Amino acid sequence: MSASPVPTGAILRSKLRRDLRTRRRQVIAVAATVFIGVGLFVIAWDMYNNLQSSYDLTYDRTNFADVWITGDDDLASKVAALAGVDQIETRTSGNVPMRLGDGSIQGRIQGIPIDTQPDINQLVIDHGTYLNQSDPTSVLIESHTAANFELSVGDTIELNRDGEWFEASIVGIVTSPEWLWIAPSSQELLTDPNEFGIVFAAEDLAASLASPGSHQIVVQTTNNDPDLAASMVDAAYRDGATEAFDRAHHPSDQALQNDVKGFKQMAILFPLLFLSVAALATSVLLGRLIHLQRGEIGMLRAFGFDEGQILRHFVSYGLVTTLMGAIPAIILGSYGAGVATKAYTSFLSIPFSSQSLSPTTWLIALIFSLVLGAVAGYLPARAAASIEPAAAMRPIGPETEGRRTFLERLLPSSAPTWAIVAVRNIRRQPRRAASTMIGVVLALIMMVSAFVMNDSINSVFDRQYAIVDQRDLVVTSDQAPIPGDVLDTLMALDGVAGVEPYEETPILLRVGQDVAPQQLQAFVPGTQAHDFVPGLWDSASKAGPGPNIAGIVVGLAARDSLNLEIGDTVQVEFPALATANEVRVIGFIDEPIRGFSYLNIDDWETVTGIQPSRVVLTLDSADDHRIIRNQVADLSGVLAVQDQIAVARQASTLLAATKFFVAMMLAFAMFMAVALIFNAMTVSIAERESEVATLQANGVDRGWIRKTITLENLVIVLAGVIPGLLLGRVLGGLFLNQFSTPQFKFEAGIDPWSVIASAALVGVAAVLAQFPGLRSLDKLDLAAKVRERNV
Amino acid sequence: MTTQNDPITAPAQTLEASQTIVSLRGVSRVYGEGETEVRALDKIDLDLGTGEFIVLLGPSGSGKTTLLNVIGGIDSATSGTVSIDQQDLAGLKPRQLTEFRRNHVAFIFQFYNLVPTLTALENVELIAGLTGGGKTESIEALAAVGLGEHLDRFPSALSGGQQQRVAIARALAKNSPLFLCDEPTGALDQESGTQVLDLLQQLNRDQKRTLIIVTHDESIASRASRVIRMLDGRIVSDTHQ
Repeated sequence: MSASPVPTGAILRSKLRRDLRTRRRQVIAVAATVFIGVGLFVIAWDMYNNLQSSYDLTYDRTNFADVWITGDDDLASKVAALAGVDQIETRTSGNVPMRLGDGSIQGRIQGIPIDTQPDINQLVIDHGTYLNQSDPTSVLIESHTAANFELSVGDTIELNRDGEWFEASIVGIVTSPEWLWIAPSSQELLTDPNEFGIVFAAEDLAASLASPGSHQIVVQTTNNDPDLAASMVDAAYRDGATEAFDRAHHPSDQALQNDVKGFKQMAILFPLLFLSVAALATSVLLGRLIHLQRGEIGMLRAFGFDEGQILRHFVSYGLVTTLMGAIPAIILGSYGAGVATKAYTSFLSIPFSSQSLSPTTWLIALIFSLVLGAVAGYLPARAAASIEPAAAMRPIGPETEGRRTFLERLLPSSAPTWAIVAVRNIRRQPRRAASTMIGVVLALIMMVSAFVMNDSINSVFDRQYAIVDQRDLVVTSDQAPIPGDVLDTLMALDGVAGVEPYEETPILLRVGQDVAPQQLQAFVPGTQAHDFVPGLWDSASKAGPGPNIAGIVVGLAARDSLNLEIGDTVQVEFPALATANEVRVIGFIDEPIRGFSYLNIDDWETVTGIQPSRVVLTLDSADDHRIIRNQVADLSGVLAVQDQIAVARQASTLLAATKFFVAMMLAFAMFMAVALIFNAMTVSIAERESEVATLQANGVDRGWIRKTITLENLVIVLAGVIPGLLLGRVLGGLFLNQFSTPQFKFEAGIDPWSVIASAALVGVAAVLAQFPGLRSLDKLDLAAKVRERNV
Repeated sequence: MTTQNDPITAPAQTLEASQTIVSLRGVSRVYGEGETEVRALDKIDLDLGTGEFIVLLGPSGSGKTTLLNVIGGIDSATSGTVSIDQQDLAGLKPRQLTEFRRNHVAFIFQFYNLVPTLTALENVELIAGLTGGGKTESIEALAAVGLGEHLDRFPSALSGGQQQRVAIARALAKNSPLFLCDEPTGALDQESGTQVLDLLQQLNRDQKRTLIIVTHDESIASRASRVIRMLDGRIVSDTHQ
């Protein structure tokens, strides 16, 4: 007996290595699916963490406030006395007419100390310098505003004080933590960036410009405690604040967090889908591999290998294949997350970008990959280990008895033999056919579910801005009501289809202690500028569709939060107009972009006591909007022109991270689908090597063999298309249900072109995947194959 | 755990010459049920001694491979008792049965059942390692079957006869007392078949291994010390020569 027994494990590892090399194409294809799944997770999860930490870093470095309160100095004293206040500052923050570049807008002016940064909400100087005593009338321009209005250091802007315009020079371009996303209020998260801007001026100057009631208190709590901040908001309202909100309700942070939260949900759900598909693909491949090794397994069992040894051996196939995909995915995914984060933070002008490598993500990805590999390998390995040696060593014959199949009966009697054999093979080897079909179905599930997400998210904007919101331009006049000659001039412009009186303003709907912020829009009855059809209307008073009678139409989300019913009375508060009134609820509506309530324009005057100073323009063609917008802006008496196309573009930007992820997911899904199809097809072909060798040895020509195999595979692909499309659509819908933001209402759907594209890609991939497999059959060494068959 | 009192897990060398190594009493093996029932073995009684060279003869479907598999513990009897060195295989748990096969039997199959992705030496080492064998024993076994020059060849680079000789070396390196050969020359040409049979006969003669060969080739019977003929799952003759 030898002193050094042979380690069977080492030999089995050699076998494993060579087996994988023999099936390298399929192994690479499976590893590619794992690579995509793990890579997607690492990119998405690291990017989510990077985004969150970039915001946190920015807020930390700039001392972002925890609470904003509008109120007088007495209120500031009361707030300062509250427990948990770490720092407190007062400042002016109000709207002021301003001329920026070519634009004339209602912008926001915020007061800051001169010579020194504020303690809270500090500014990052991108260009130029901070304010200084030498020029107390100079200003700083917020970076998005500077970009939108093409302003630079040294330019001048005009500010309006009591109807008089005066010039102020720009000494710096700055980024503010309060204006990472440009939203005038939490009701106006979506605005035309050319109709709003932010200017920072010395506190004395700001106070002299802003309207009364623009006194704001900003607070930092001890340890930035969100619970403490929420309780301060409540206390501030009790003490007479006209407006108060915490970070969670800050317009900019709220908008950005909606995107980040949606991104987080996707960063978990979709990699999970991809990895599940990768696990299934691995499992199917191993199942086929093990099926081919039945004889070897039987021999090993006959010679005394126990079930555990066999199980471990074949589970290791799953682990190795998975790790082959997972390790490069972790490395490249981490790198990709850094690049993507940098691009995203740069796109949104986040001043401090954090791109840290996360060992935790690597560990999660690695553990998940190992579990995936073990699970994927376990079932086929379990089947291998339980194979009875005697049964395993019997030759593998057809899995079913021979008889004419249903498909075969569909063929004409004159069908060539190769066609008959092709369809008969499907039933003769149902396991092989099922494995191939699973590959097709999985490929379609990946693509269709990704398309459902992509199309559903994009359709929010299409439905809102192409169907629901028909406004093209909103014109604000310097007089209320708008003079008749201005209306006539607007109507006479080429390309203008309709002009209607209109108003809008942020409101708070209040029922007892419950408050829902909304953006109120007022239209004429039967307006052409808004489609109100989907909704619940007060049929008794013949309301709807739309606010055609006195009363307010409320969004469904606000209805739910305030527990409203049709006929209820709700308190409508107008912070910008410093007024409030009780209004009857006449309908509910659930639109793709949420947060809007509606009045009719006559009721607007009744409720607010103010005549409308705006009109809404509908155009013959959206193509002309830029020309008409400029024409309208040049008219005398026009204070501002809001371009709805710019608003739609801004709305789309609000889901930038989510859309980026979905686009990435779609690209990965397509790549993965091709890998799955390639795998399904090449395995299906590779399994026939002995059979093909025998046919060729008996003189059957290659064309006959090629046609038979191709037809068989394409019939299976066709059979998998319908279930794949259906399952993908269902799964995409389920995932979309998990992805929710308060701002948007998603409806699961898929563009018919996406369905066609998915099916076409699978079809093309299936046809192309035939070539390498069939070419390898053409190159078969018949003598070697015949000998191998006997092994 | 290997103990001297456990004949199943005990090293194979403890078996003495002239002992009854295999004893079957009333062994039946039935596949399927009802109309599809096939009685592959029908109440077989049989005793086989150590060092015997037994040929199981019979036409296809006579039950000879089933009998070999039942003796080798890779198939189980539906009824009756199968005793190997006085241990009833029916009473063994799967793990014990695996250990029994590891320590007591070596198979040689018609289609060799080599692992195609392992070299000749690795194929032998893989099995030798199960019973504590090493590289030396594996090389010696391959040399003994005349393949000392082909250690690193893969099965596809070997002829059928050479592959079967690798299979014999594999069985040899395992050092089992009982060789179970299922049509070992069935896939070989006459010359290769003769070489393989010579080799097996030599093992039986020189190393006193019990050899059971299943075949339907009458010419092989002349080499055996005992010829058992089967038909329809039954032993129809049992001749010592």
